[in-house]
Amino acid sequence: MDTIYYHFRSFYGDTLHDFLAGFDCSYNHVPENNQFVNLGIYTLLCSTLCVILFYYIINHPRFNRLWSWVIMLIIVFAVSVIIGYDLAYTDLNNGAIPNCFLVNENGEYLIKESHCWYLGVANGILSVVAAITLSFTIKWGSRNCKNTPC
Amino acid sequence: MNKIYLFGIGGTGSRVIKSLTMLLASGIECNDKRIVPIIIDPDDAGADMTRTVDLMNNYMAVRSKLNFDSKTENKFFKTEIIQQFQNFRLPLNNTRDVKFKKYIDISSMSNSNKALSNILFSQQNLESNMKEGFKGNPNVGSVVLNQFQESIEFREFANNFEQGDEIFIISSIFGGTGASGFPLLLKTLRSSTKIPNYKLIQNARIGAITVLPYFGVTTNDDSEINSSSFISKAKSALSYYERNISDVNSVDFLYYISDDIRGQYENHEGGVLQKNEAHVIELLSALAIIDFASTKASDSEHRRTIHKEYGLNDNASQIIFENLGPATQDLLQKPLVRFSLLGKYMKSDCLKKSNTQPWKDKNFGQDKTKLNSEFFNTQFFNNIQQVLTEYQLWLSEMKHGDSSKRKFSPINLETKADFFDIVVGKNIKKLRKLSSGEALFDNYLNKYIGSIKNHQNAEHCFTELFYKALNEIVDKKYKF
Repeated sequence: MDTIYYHFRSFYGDTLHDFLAGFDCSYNHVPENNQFVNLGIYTLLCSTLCVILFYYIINHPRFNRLWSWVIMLIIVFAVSVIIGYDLAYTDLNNGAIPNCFLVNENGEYLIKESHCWYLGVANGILSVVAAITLSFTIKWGSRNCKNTPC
Repeated sequence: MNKIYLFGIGGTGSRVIKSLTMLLASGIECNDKRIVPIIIDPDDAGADMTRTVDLMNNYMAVRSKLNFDSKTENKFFKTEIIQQFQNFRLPLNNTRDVKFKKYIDISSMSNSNKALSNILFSQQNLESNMKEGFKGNPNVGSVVLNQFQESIEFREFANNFEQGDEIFIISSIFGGTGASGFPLLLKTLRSSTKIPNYKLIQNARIGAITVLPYFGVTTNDDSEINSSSFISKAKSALSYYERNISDVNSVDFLYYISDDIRGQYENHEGGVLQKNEAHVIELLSALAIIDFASTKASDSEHRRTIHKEYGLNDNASQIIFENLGPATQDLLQKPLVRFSLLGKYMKSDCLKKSNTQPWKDKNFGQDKTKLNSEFFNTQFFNNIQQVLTEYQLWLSEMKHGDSSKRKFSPINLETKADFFDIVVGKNIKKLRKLSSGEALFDNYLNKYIGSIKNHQNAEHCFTELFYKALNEIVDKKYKF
């Protein structure tokens, strides 16, 4: 799962990525407790839930316009940003991130709250991609929204 | 498939045919029989007749694009209407801009015949111009209309008459054209041996409705029509009918209908100004045709006239569905509500709002027509819209108008609170769906679009789709 997020590591920081991927300070053993797995599952669940809600539960004839679908994507994005942010910030706030990831030799902080937001944004982008893919996969079975987005 | 030749005599005849056309458009069936309307009216500019003719032309234009095979569920426009004559009219010879005295050529009569004519016809009768009908003078009508069997068109009707075909005659008893035309037409049908297929016609099943006074006209000294004579004319005509029709069993079914709550129409002798508002009596008279079509044929050798009348459940001055008898409720409720909802949807801005609906995106027929804006600009759709406009006007006329007339107001299309809240006195059911109103309509259209086979033409698919959706909506929302 972390390989998907790997492409965004320059965005939210290498050290945060390595920490969440389960590496320890020595980088000597196979990563354990890869938190990207949980993050990916939650994000995918969020996207799936929103898409199913849109196409099959709400399934409303007045919500099958493009802007309705875009609003659904914005909701998916927002929820996923919060999920990503919360995952990283909880560890940051609880002091669960070892110093080797947190501070460099010069004493500068490598993981700040802003990095947590960046992770959230990366997670949001991935969730939107997942929601778009899911939309095109399952829209055909929807009664009222099969032509949404196109 | 057998035919019913439907003779509509005079203004009332045209208006009853109009009501019947509305019922047929809404999906009320005529026992799988085809209808051949034939209007007999010397008033060729009469607005009642021209409105009826326009309506039937639109009906036929719509019907011609639809298929009704065994798999078709749609009942809108199901019954076929056949046009035998131009404008559905049986032409009457020598009545256009001719005074009655010239028609009977009184100037060339002997003195004794002139004297007899002066006894039978008033000076006003003799001076009467017949281009606007017989203006409540059956004595004039009985002379002029005694020309059926000589008419080429009437012979054409007889020539097309086939075994199993039936005849129904609509007339009023209190005017001129209907009161005189009905017995004359019946006499010709039952006794003429000069027309083709006369044996078939003589033995055919014939039904008739005689409409007794149900409206009055305002007093106008310049008009030959005076509603104070309607009752006395009706009485004398009834007496004549009893002796010459009922007692000799010349019809199989004779329907009588009347109303003692009578509104007033503007007093126009005829022409484009004679545009009487639709009346519930005309709707109930049209039901007589449906009733006649559903009854079984009797043995022509032992024909006995069966007389029928119509009664309301309650003597309400504003009739809603509950005031009708159970059989009439069963017959009218669903079709009228379905067709009213179709009209409401088509006439509102629902069509514009529905541009993104899946039901608008499926291809139909060989030319892959979609039910999109292109389809909604076709002549077919224009014809449907015109029928729906007339239908709504027809409902509105029966509901509004002169305050003293009996009104028919079971459907209120003016409600804005809920799209489906159109049936007066009926609570609509709330469905367990997130969508409501027009969106619920679209929801059912989207549901059924998948079940519509796309090899048929778009017109067929359009009516099939809307009928299926409306059928389920009406069943679930109103639970009639």
